[in-house]
Amino acid sequence: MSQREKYAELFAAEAREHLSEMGRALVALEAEPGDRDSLDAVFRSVHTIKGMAAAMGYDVATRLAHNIESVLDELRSARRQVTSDVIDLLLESSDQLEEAVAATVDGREPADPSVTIEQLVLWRVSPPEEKEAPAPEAEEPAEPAPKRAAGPSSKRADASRVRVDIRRLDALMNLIGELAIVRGQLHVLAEQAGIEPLQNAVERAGGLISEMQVQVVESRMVPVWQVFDRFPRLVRDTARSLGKEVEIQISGKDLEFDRALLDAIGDPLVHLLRNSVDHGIESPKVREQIGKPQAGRIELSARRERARVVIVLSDDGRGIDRDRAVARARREGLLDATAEPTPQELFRILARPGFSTAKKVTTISGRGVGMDVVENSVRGLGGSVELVTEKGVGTTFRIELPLTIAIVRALIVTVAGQTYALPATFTRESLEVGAGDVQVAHGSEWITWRGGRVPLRRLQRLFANGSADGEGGNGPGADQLRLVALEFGGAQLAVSVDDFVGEEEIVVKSFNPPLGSAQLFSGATVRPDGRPALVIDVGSLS
Amino acid sequence: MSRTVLIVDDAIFMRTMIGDILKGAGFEVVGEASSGVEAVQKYKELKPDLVTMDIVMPDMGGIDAVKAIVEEDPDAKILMCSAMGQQGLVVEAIQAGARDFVVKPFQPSRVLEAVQRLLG
Repeated sequence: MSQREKYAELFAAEAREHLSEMGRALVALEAEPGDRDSLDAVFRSVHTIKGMAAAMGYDVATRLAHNIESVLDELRSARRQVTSDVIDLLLESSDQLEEAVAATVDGREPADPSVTIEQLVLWRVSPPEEKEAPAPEAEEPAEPAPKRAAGPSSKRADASRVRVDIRRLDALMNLIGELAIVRGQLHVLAEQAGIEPLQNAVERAGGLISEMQVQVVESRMVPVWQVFDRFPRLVRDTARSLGKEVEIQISGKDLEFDRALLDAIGDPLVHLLRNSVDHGIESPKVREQIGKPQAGRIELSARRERARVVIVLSDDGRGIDRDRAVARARREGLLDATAEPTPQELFRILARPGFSTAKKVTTISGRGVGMDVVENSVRGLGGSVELVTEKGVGTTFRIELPLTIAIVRALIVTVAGQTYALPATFTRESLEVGAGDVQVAHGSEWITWRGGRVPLRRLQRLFANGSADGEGGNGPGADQLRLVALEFGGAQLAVSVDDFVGEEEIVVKSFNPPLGSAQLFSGATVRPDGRPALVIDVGSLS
Repeated sequence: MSRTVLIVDDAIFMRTMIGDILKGAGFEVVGEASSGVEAVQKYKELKPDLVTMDIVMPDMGGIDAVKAIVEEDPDAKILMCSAMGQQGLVVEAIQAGARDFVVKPFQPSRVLEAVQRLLG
């Protein structure tokens, strides 16, 4: 018997056990909706099946199990209640999962699971949001023909170019990441050995590896028009369905950035564009009355600023009633009675699920559903979103992203005996201040930095849970504080650490997909000594 | 002398697969455990060079097991083997003392890379 047959047999036997356990626990849960043990048992079974199916490459079973698990997550976190409807849905899905497992084991093609998966997804995103027509493909001829930048990059069929599967580049990137770790280890070993020619050779190899990294990162870069070119059609169709007229102007289309980032930012941009057309731009009649041109205008631009990409999307519509949003945020305690929100805070306020100032909910956007997804996606990529709006004049979103996500420079620090990485995109300065320089106001700590008041966060306290030695000290003498000044989306922040280790190039293994809102870490990296360091999500600190 | 490993996962399937990968690389699988409680007990008994640890298990999950093992032996080398969608728990595991993680479904080469890094 081949190894694969052996695994398949083990899979079949164990998956069946878990399926029957799942059925049993689901029925128990229906009888007793608050029964935590049954809920956990269902979850464990599905989770185990998912892991096994994924290892076998059984795609249908993996996808089904994954989507069932996501529904169970909602129930386990108590965001949603156990109702008979959801039990029906789970029972149906487990039947389908059982069928998929049986089919795979018998060597049959499993039935198409898309209907079941769609139901599972729909349940999760309810209150229901009607699915819109899929966005047209970039290749489709858009009408009226979008004014594609006449530059040579648009449709270059150059004989000196080859097409490469993106997965190959990803694999290369991974390998280089591993190489970078080995380089760090070699460096340490060569230092210890104290052999000079060896050290020189290691240095040289290190330089070559860095160069290779740059080349691979560059080869993953694609021009933004590959994604932006479908927007004119999208805006036109959305506008037409709402009886509006909207012109869109796009600039900076030839800017290149990391393929993975570009793919990830597409959907959030689609959401913001729809939002602008739906809620921002007024109807032609209203626009005429208030003396604006009948056709609304949306501008989208991309440009590079240092090691960052900045995408700006603005419309000349009615703007968001900022005062109302701020008043409501104060009522709900999201904002101090006197504090004025920064542009970034303003976006966060408006992005909160259910926090919409739109009076009318439409099928295109509204309810605030989606803005939080935009915020989470951008944050997950290590970026930030700012919002500037003026009533009657328009709204501008400013999205900042790192140029690439796989390899970043980072400041390595220790906190309570653990090592952490702070992406250098956001670090401004490391400094030491006396304990007496910390001021306390409104229950928060502040320091003065470069002439301004900057809030202080003590990472020792934030990360205290889970570490063996708890709060820990702060450097050798508690009268001196070691701080890192950070800048994120225009806001400044200082964090206290125990020690600075140094600046390094790190390879980030991200926790994908970026979910959840209060995550403190965006990924992990392995240090030259083989120990992991968590990469701090700077956005979650501010 | 071959390195010893304790494999912790509630699925026999996973234990077999991970075991095969590691045996192929010259490891000796000295023990298997299907729950956190069992893992802690076997660790004390066997003192393996390496532990692979699942996260979601009945009778004490992988994170609590990591905490208990690290308390017993701060130098314990534990590799988390988690399924996708568990990123929050991976963070917790690393803070509890796990040294690295791989995400299921994993390629044998990825597991071995992580293991080699861990054991230096």
